[in-house]
Amino acid sequence: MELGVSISMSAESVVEIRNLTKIYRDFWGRAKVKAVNSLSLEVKKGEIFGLLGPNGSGKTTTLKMLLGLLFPTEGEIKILGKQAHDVSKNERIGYLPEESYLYRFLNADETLDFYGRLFNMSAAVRKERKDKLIEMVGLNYARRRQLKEYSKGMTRRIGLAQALINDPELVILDEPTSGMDPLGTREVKDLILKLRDQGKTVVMCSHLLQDVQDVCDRIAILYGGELKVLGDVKDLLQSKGETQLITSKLDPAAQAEVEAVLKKHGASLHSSSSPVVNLEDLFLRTIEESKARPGRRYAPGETPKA
Amino acid sequence: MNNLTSGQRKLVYGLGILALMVVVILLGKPSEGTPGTGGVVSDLREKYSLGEATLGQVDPASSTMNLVLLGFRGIAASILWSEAEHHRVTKNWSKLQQTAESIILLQPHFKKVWEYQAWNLGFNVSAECDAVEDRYFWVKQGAKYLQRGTERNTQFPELFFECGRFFGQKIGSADEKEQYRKFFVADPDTSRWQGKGDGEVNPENKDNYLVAQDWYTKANAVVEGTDIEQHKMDLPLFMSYPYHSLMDYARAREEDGYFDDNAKGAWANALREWTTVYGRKVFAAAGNGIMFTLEGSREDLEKLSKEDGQPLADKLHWQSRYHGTTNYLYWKLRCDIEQKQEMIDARRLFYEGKKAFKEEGDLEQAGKLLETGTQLLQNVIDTAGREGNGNSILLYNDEGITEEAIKSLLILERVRDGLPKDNFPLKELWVDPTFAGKRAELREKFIRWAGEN
Amino acid sequence: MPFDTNHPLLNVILQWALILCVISVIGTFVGGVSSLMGGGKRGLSEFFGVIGRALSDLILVSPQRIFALATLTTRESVRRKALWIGAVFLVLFMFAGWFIGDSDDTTPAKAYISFVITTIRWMLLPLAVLLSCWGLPADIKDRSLHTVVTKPVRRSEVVLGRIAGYSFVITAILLVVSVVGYGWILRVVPERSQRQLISRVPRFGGMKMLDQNGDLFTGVNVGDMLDLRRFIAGGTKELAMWQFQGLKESDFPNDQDLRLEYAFEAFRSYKGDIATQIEFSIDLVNPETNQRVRLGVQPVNEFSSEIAHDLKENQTENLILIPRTISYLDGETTKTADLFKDLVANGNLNVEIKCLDAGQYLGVSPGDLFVRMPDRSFAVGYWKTIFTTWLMLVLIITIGTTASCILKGPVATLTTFGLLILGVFLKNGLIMRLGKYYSDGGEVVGGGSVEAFYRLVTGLNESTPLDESITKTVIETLDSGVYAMLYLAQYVIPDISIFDASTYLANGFDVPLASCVLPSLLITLGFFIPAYIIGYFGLQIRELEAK
Repeated sequence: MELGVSISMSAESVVEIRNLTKIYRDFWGRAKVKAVNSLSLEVKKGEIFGLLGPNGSGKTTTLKMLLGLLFPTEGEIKILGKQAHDVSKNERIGYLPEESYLYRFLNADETLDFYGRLFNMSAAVRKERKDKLIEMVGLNYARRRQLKEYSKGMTRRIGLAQALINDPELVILDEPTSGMDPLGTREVKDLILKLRDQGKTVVMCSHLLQDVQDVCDRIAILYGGELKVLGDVKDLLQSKGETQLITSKLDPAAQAEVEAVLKKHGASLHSSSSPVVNLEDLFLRTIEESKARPGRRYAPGETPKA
Repeated sequence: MNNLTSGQRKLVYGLGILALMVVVILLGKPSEGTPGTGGVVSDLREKYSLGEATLGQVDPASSTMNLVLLGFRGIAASILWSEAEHHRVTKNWSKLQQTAESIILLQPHFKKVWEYQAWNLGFNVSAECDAVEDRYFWVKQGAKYLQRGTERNTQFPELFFECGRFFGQKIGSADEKEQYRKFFVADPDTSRWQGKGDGEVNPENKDNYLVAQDWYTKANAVVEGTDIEQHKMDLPLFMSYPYHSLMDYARAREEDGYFDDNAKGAWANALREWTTVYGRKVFAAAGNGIMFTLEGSREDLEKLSKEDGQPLADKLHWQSRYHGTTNYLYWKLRCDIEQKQEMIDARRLFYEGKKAFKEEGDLEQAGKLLETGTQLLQNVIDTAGREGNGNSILLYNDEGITEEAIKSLLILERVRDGLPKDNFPLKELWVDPTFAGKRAELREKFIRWAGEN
Repeated sequence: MPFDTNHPLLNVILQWALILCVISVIGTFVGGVSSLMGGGKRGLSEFFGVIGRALSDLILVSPQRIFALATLTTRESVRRKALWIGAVFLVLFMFAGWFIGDSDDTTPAKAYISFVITTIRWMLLPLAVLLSCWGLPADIKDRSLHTVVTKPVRRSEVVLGRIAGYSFVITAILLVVSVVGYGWILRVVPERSQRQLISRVPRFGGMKMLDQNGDLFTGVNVGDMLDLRRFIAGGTKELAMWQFQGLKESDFPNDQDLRLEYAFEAFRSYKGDIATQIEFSIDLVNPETNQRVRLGVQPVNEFSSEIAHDLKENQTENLILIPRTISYLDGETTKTADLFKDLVANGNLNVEIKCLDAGQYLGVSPGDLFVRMPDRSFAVGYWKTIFTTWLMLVLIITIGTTASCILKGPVATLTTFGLLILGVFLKNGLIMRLGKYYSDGGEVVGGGSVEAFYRLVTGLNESTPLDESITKTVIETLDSGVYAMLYLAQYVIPDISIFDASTYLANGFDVPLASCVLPSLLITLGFFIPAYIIGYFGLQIRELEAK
């Protein structure tokens, strides 16, 4: 799999989840919450995969089971071809936690150095990576300040830097853009796309649907621990049987004639495609539907109708 | 709910603090020593003598410890007490001493603590050692401990009194008295004290009895200068100790073999102090408060009676009762007799006779000296007078002279192969059944001391 | 007893290993069976998967990662101002006089040494507990550990890293305070007590006591509550004999004197001559040829060493100097003997002590007479004491860290403190009582706790036997169960008193390797290995997210 080519839709999967279930139990061992229910997923090499869902839908639980932080009650996980509890898989994974769970008494330099050491990197490599990543996330001006003095956006940036310290093949991002200003959000999104261009696989979950729509190749929507929707973002958002025309600016007269003209004259046609629904619409529709008809699962490409 | 701004709130707090401070200062302002100058609380403290400073020297360490321990002083002290006991049982003397020091950090104003632990060191630990020098060291440790107790508690007459007992009785009449008295003026720790006595207990390098007298005098001063009572014994007896120390001093010098003019002077001094100072003190009889002096003549008491309105007969009665309690008249006579040249000579002859017998082995000389000595003593006894039943006042009141005399007779018996059949000086001591027990006891001692013939 | 000479270390190690093996085997067996019952064949294979992973996790640890985690732990402690304890310590020393009480230049060095070591121990002990018990739970609570374990870090490395980090912190603090303490001792010990700052190296010998007829006997008890010393009668043939072994000529180069040091007690049955001490004679006897040399007569100097002043010439220590060539009186003639040629046979030498004063007694115990090997400097003993203190702190950190792998901060702290309190105060009593229980064949007057409670409630006195009934059987079974649990508990509670070498140091002895340093080291290691394993499993089977 080292021969991974950029933008590949080959069958090689980086993450395989089969029948994954997680039940939280109380002190007496009684089932309290079914956080994830018979989830099956596959993430292909080189894609950006988005996990969507409202609060408590099980997306973070799923990510944490992927990482081995939580143990599945049932089901199987294969990540980079290894079991979730195998620490050696972590060599090739980068993880940005939901909130940046970093050591607040360390500064940016020390943080990256520390995580670098955990990968048994040599001092020279650590220095090189450190400099590059701090530069990349734009924290050069604050690299000697303790993290407890950082703003939320800065913490996200250093969190992202530590996730990439080992140049991972698989990057798992939990809410990568939360707390960032629009400019920062743009930068992070660009970075995610760049990671894909470098052949890395990205699994992210987010509340910010616009971000997901902007970067993800495929998404899964979870609700109540169950998978509701899974598929290509393009396919999911495309409205079939309709056409969308985008034209150059028309004068008012031409505009009045546009319907007739379209039939008779060949006006210059800039693009022609199906009109795209907003991801927000799709998301809300899915949630509404799921509440109304629990247990329903949509076939690939099928979307709930409003 | 709260309409005040932060600044206003701070102002309110500040005013509150100020108001409380004014109250605290009014109540707790330290006194300048005279009543009325301090706050209410410190005035009360002064009035009832409750302040640390009025009890004695303040030890910041002790105060801090008690503060740090909050309310756990009692528990901490109890633990230390059982630790001290453990160290005593396991014979860890230096640890015992350290623990005793820690206990007084916590309980600096407990009289019994000072007394108990000082005795522990000065008597119990001391007795465990085999070398006299070591024993003396621990006696000193006990005494020093007690001395510090008096510094911390200036209002316990008993502690001063106990100090007097350490220096007077412990050093002066222990089995090791001969060594102890020497060590008291020439400490065995020569490198530290350069041949002098331990400066911490005997800074002026005086005789132990004179140091004891100083302490007893201090104890008397506490009782006399304040309304504090002592709880040891009847007051006239308690007050007599400094003067007895002077007699002890005079006696001890003679026992050490000094029969110069100072010997006479020491007895004369003891007599003077006994009659003119102690005898002139006005005491109140226990229970009824009848005032009298021990030395006072009928006229003196009459005068006193006029002053306080108490009947003269009562005064005479109680004076006579207390003469008995304190053995006042005997000691007066004794000092008077002892300062006479004849008596001093008699004692010198006994001393020299004993020395000739034991150290020089000159039996003939010993016999001569003792014969002269006993004759001299017989004269003294005759002049001193007899009680109504014909008993010598000197011989029947105290063993001080009797013992010395019987010892001399025992030596005489040995060197002369028996005493004369008919008459000889001090014969009453040899034949009176009153002294039979004493004679037997001294004979046994004598045989051990001189060996079987 | 501080003068325990032969510690069967090898046996101890073997026993330890055996117990560890047995527990591991039982654990594996029970785990295997229960997973077989719970999950069938798949459960069993999962169980062995866990065991296999555990083995590799426990063994294949990366030093660099442990170092990184240790550095992190250190930084964390430093930034949490743990080092302030050092400042508190300095303040304590500034006011140390307050705690030592009134001291003058006769105060023995003992007081100062005990103070320093005790202060160090009792100040750093809670620090070690708090540091080690709160770090990991805080790490889990803040979820900073999550990020760490998404890196290729084994949980065993987290445990080791934590232990190493705290140990490093405590080591640094200990180093600072012990250097300060050392300087303080040298400065404040009064000049005349300075000579007590020494590390004497005793070589003990076996002792036996012989009565008038030359038969073995146990000596007389003169009524002391402390039954440490037994007494021999003076002026009789009773004697105490020490048999020293392994004396080599090379240990005493340049014709150095062989020094015997003693600490006997005297007991007078009558007052006798007060000014003269009880005396004893010392005979050197060749155990093979029975050649006998009377060395001389010595005063007992009872408890003189408790005092820090020079009483008489050369009498600060109770030393008997034996020159290489000894002149002695044999009847009327003066003869000479060579210590190593004539008296020491194959390294063995017998020394006989007799009390000379008729009617008086001399008290002896095995540790009372020893060959004093060349002295070592005070620093040697001091740093050994610090080393054992360090081992104790590492042990505490290990236990604390392990507890914090399983429990939350406050609970871990209580557990560790509880274990320490048991280890310091109750362990000896427990062992003693258990020993008595087993030596009495399981019979205790009044019974165990359940039986005692039963008697209390029913008002039955302790000497009345219980009625033969089912109640009796139940009570006795329960009680023997309690004893069995206590029996096991005594092995789980570390014996903290072993680590306290201050008694040696304060009394001017070198800290012995065999009966103090080595046992301390072994206890620490002995606890470290299982604690490490337990800590690993605690962290491994714990879902960090679930808190």
